[in-house]
Amino acid sequence: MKLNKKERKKFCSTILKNINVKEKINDAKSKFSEFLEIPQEVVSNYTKITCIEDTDILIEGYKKIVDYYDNYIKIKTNNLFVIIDGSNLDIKEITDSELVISGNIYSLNYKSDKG
Amino acid sequence: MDFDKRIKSITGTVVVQIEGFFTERFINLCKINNVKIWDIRNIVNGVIRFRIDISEFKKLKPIAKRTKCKVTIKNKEGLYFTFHKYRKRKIFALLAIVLVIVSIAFSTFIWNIEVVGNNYISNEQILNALKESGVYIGKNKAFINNKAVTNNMRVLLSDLSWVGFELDGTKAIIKVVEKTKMDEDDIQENVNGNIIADKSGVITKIIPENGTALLKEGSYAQEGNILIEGVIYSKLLDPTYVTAKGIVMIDKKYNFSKEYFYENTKKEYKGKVRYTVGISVDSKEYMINYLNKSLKYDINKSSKSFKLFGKLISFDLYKFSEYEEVNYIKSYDDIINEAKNEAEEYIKSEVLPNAREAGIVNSVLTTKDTENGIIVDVQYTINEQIGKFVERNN
Repeated sequence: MKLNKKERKKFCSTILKNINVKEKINDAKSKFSEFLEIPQEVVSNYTKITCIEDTDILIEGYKKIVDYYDNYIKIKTNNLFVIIDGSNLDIKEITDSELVISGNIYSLNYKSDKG
Repeated sequence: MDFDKRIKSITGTVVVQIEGFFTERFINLCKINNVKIWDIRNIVNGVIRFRIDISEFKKLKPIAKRTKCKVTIKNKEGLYFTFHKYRKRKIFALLAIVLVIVSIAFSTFIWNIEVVGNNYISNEQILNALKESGVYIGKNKAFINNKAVTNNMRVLLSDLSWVGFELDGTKAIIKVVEKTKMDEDDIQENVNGNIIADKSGVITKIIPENGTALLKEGSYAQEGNILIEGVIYSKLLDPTYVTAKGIVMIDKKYNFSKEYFYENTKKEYKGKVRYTVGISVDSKEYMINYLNKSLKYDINKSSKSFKLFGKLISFDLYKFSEYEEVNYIKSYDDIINEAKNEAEEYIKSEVLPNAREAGIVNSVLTTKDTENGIIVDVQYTINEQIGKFVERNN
């Protein structure tokens, strides 16, 4: 039985899903970092969030800004959505991988990427 | 990164306002296209402001086109814009450059010389020796060889045991250490000699510890007379030369005489105070004078001075307090009291500090009437120690 290109791709993806390759790779990475005592965010593409009291937040490893208002910022990271509530929220600095938010921060919430 | 941002804000940055529905997308596209923006602020929904370097401003155009946003410049900061603003003022720029060049050129010369550490060698002697060594005010620093200067100084001034020369900006600092000289006690220990009188008076006590006393108690010692001779005479032996030592006390008379008038004037301050400023160069004063010449003022001067090209220049602030002269008459008792106080003050401040082991024996006050007042004469008798060691010549 010959499969065309589209069907072959679909077949591969279903197999990969069934054997949970992604999760297994992540698991291996975390075990590897634990063994060598390397910070996890260096090995796997996790996001590191640093808070300075209720005035500044540094997010390392973000993907894009989804919403930006004066009192609400939603940021997409590698595995999560980070939602910041506050007032007078400014993006102080923005680079390829880092984002510094300053202002009066009331809350910091996470929302899973999957659902 | 912060330092980089600051450097950029010096060269030139603009504050840009973006209006549109997709401001978040605009920021994300900036990140993707490597356009560096900072200080992002949401003004109202759909309006954001941020800072951007002028060199990257043109990169915003395609992003604005894609996101259908309106871009406006709100503020411009930095040297680029200031230079652009004053681009037509060529003479101003030229003068600024000339000023910089002149200040650099002037800083290569010596403007001031400071002498540190001298005690018995005068500043003038050191400065003259420095001049001979090739260091003087107005000399270019580039042509000075520190080592040669210090060597030359040591040759010229033999009393110096160490010389240090350094340049601090436009100031030349010369540090010296003088040779220690033997003081009087040391000389007295090692050399034969006499004790002579350095003041005249009636001798009250003479105790020769070493040597022979030539004057006795009660006799008058003239300044320069030998009090204790450094020789020991004996009937059996030849005279022996020794170091004269001993204590000689004399009674010396000091006079205080002053004429006092019954009629006197005193200052009555009106409370009006005026200020003015001035500049003085080597004690020559130049000030802004707007005072009324018919009125009298008490001048109070406070100044800050510095040395430049060897001249003392000071900026002065003058305080003028206006006063009127009022006549009044003093009584005889008041004059006597005042004279006593002044005489005591004179003795305490000028006589006693210059005398050794001194004490007041007695004081006699005499008065003499004149046409408008009296002359008060106070004679103090002071008991003090005298004697100066002088080395024997032969």
